[in-house]
Amino acid sequence: MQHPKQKYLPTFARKSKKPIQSQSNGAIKTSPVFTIPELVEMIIFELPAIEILSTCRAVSRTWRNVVDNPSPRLKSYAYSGLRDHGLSFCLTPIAVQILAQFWRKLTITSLKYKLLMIKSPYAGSRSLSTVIEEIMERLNLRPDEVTILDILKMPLFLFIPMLGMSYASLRLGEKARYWRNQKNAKPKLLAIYDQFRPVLQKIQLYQGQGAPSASTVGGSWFRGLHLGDASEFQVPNDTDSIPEPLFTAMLNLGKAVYSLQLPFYLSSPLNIEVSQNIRSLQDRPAVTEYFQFDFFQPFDVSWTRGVDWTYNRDVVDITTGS
Amino acid sequence: MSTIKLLSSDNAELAVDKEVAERSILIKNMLEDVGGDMSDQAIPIPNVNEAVLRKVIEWCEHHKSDPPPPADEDSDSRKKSTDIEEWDQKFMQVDQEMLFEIILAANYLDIKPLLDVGCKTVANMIKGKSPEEIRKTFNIQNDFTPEEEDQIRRENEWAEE
Repeated sequence: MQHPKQKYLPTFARKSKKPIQSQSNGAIKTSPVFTIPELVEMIIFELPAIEILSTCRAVSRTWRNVVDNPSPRLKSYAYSGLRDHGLSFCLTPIAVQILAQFWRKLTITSLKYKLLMIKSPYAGSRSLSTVIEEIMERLNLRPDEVTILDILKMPLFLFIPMLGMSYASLRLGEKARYWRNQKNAKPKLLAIYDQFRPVLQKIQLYQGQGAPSASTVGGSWFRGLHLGDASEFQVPNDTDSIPEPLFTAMLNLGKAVYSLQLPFYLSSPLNIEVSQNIRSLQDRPAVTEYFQFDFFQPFDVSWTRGVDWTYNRDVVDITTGS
Repeated sequence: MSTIKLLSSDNAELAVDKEVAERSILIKNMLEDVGGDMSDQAIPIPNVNEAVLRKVIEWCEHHKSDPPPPADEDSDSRKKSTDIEEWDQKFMQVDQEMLFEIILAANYLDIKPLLDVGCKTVANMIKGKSPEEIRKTFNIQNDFTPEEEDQIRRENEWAEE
């Protein structure tokens, strides 16, 4: 008997009128085309890599096994985030798509919590509010936690300038809102990191190499990401460049995320460094390696890996063509 | 031009030019093994019925002059799904059951270009669909346990909007 829903399906999707060889549990019979791993692989190989890594894994066990245990050909297509060009590495389209999704989610969340309106305290000259903030930090206080008692407990040399800065209340109000937003956004932002960690590992953009250092905890570690538009270092157009629309999409998102103060520490214009604040925010193991993605105009992307960025400023760059 | 006979799974004998039949690597190897002389005896194709075999022969006849595909195709240089020739697109406008039978026959007979066209056609039907839609479209059984499904959903959260 035909399933009631069958009549709503398009012709090609309806079940054959031929008798179905029911399996022991009475389930519908799947065509061998979708149960022979070699054929499944040939079919999904024709799909965009991002669909292979997401949608296809969720269809059936056979499909998941094909995706999770890829042949060298499928691995090269769907699991390679970086392409080796001898002297340089380039991001592959799958890497760009995944990273674009990553930045996009961060941006949306940060906008929701109004974290995009705050400028980096490290950029430009120090303002009075920055000075106040530094004093607060020295006293281990947060602006939204300051009480009269706290102020009265301050040493006199700090108490007087604090009183003199009466307009600081406005600033404190703004900052206080920011700190609250930051506090609320933090778990959401960290959840996004957790979502993307496995897939970034899969495409080899986020993967520990060798034994974790002594500074890591529990054998898990987080590599930072460094994203930047190195437009000052223009290089000739490269035939291996990523497609312009993908580049533009990713660059725009990168620029939007750039204005995030947390969890990013902004080191220089159009550069995003994740590593240090990941460490301080998440209470995660120290970063011993970082990635840097440099965008060269028009559309070339290069990749740099450094080690011991946090503790050792003598960064060892495995520089790649930049 | 010599002709050979193919015997389908439902015992239908089909005469076909040797050159056309040799698009199938399986048949080509069989003919080579027997010295090329199969004029008086039909070659059994036990996994393919007459209707499907006729479709496969039709494809082979149309593509009999195609150059052989390169042995080692680089994944980046391969044509993707959007590049199905117009004739092949029309050829593949069959019901789903026939499409799957053609793919299975191409796989069995080792006709790589036909297999590619079939897989690209199916891939085009899959593109943009959710896992549930894919299952419904192709009658694929969801054999995940609820726990496995929940785990996959969590693992795929990064791709969700």
